[in-house]
Amino acid sequence: MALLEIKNISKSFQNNQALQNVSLTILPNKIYGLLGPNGAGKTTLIRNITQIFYPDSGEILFNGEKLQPKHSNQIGYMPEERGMYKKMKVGEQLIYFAKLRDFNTKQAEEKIDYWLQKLDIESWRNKNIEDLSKGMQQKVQFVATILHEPKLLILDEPFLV
Amino acid sequence: MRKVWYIIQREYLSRVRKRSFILLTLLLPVLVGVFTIVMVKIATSSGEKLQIAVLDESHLFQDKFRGLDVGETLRFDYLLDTTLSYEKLKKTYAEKYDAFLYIPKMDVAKNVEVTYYSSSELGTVTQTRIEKAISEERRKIVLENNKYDVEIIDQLDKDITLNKIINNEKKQGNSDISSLIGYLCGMLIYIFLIVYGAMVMRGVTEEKTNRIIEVLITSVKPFQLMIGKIVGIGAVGLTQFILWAIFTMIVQTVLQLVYGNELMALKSMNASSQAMQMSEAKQLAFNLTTSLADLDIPRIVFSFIFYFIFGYLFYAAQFAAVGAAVNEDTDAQSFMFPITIPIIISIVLMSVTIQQPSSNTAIWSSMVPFSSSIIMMARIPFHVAWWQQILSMFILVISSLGMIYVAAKIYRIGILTQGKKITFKEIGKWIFY
Repeated sequence: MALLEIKNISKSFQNNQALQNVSLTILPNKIYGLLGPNGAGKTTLIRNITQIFYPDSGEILFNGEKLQPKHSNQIGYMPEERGMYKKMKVGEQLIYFAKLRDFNTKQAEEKIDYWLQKLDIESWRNKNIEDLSKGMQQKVQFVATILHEPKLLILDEPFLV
Repeated sequence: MRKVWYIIQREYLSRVRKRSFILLTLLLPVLVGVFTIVMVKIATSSGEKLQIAVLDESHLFQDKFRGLDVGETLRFDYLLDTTLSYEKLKKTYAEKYDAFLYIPKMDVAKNVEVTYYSSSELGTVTQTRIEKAISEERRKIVLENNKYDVEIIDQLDKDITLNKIINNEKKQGNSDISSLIGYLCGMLIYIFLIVYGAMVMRGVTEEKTNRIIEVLITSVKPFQLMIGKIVGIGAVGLTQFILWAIFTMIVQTVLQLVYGNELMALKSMNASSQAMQMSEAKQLAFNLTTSLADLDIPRIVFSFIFYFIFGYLFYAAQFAAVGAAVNEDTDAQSFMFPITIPIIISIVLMSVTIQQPSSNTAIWSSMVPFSSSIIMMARIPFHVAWWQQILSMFILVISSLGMIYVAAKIYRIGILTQGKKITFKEIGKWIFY
């Protein structure tokens, strides 16, 4: 069964049609690339999947169910630009994002320990985000995206540093 | 609800831990203390123990300066040989005296001109004391010369007592203290609305421009995010005000212990140019105490907290909506204008309110939610009818909830709208989207 099934979705912003009858099927444990020129609607499509926007028509199914807010905990989204508080410490920031994903503090700390050690960035824990290079920030952002072990991982231009 | 709590925690902790917050919270009461000390020092700079020689050509003011030497800081010596010139005096008495007070022969009914010669500046307290002594003596002489009974005139000069009976209750205090408390409360709320409202706006814009919002919005609803931010920053403001109040009280208590006498002299001098004698200072202190006792302190404190919180919610929601709608801080100026104008108008109306707390302008502006948090707070020390306050509070609560609802609609769309110039028309459309 498809993990994600997008059926004929359309989305307009006032007079601007961003998506028109887009359909896409994503299978589990597969990697896909979404290509298109600037303004093609790639980010709009992603925002429909992450439920930042809702389509005007068509439907999106997640694991066979109509996409709902409860599914957001199974989706990890890393935006194109770094979405982090510059003046916050790496550790505190990751704990905050984890808690918003319904982790308690203990669970969050265990997960963060695991990933910081795995990526060998343990020493960054008490550094402010603004003190890290863009590449380092990208790594922290990546940890924040996968902390809750999502079934669907969306990376928007992940190699853009 | 738990997520909103996490957001509040982050907003709160990230701000109160900042060095600038800690510094400002500690520095302000210290600065107030330093300012008070400087004022006391300047005003009582005559405390340098002056010996003043008095040359009174007419001998009208002989021995009239006795009793001015409070705290033994001033000593007046009357020179009987009035034929000596200043130059000669300087030579003869330079070592003995710090200054000379020259009172020429004059017609006291007309202009009185007295000259003070010294090598250093005269302190304001001493100057006022000397002027007052001369003025009182001159008055007495003129009245006696014109065959008026000085005692009767003095009696007539005394302040009349206006007994106020409000709602069958006798009020002893005068209106000055009510005005002061009203003005202070209104001003504090005004500062809070502007400073912390702008902080909410900057926080929202930061999340938008840094694209943090795109990450957050996948796990929390925009409304939760907005409420968390407004409440978290409001709590920072409340904490700062409470800490300021506590620290200022500590600093003032310490100052009272160290500079008690000087502070009392300074207060009495400021309160009235005539209040120089200790007995008058005591009278002033008595007036102040009875006025304070007459104020309904629990009601003022409760109302202050209420209007502080709901006034803030009403305006912070608007600031959050503006923060979400704009793309950069610089764009925010034009959108902030319609929000700040009612706050500034409220401050202007507050001056009118304090003079006439029961006027129609005061009553209406304390009902309108755009001004009620400032105006009603300025009116409350004047014993506002309870029905008016309850109605005003009810309107403010409903309006704050309504404003949060409207702001959330703008916020929800604005926060994800990137890269295009937003107009008021567009924001209007978002509200009904």
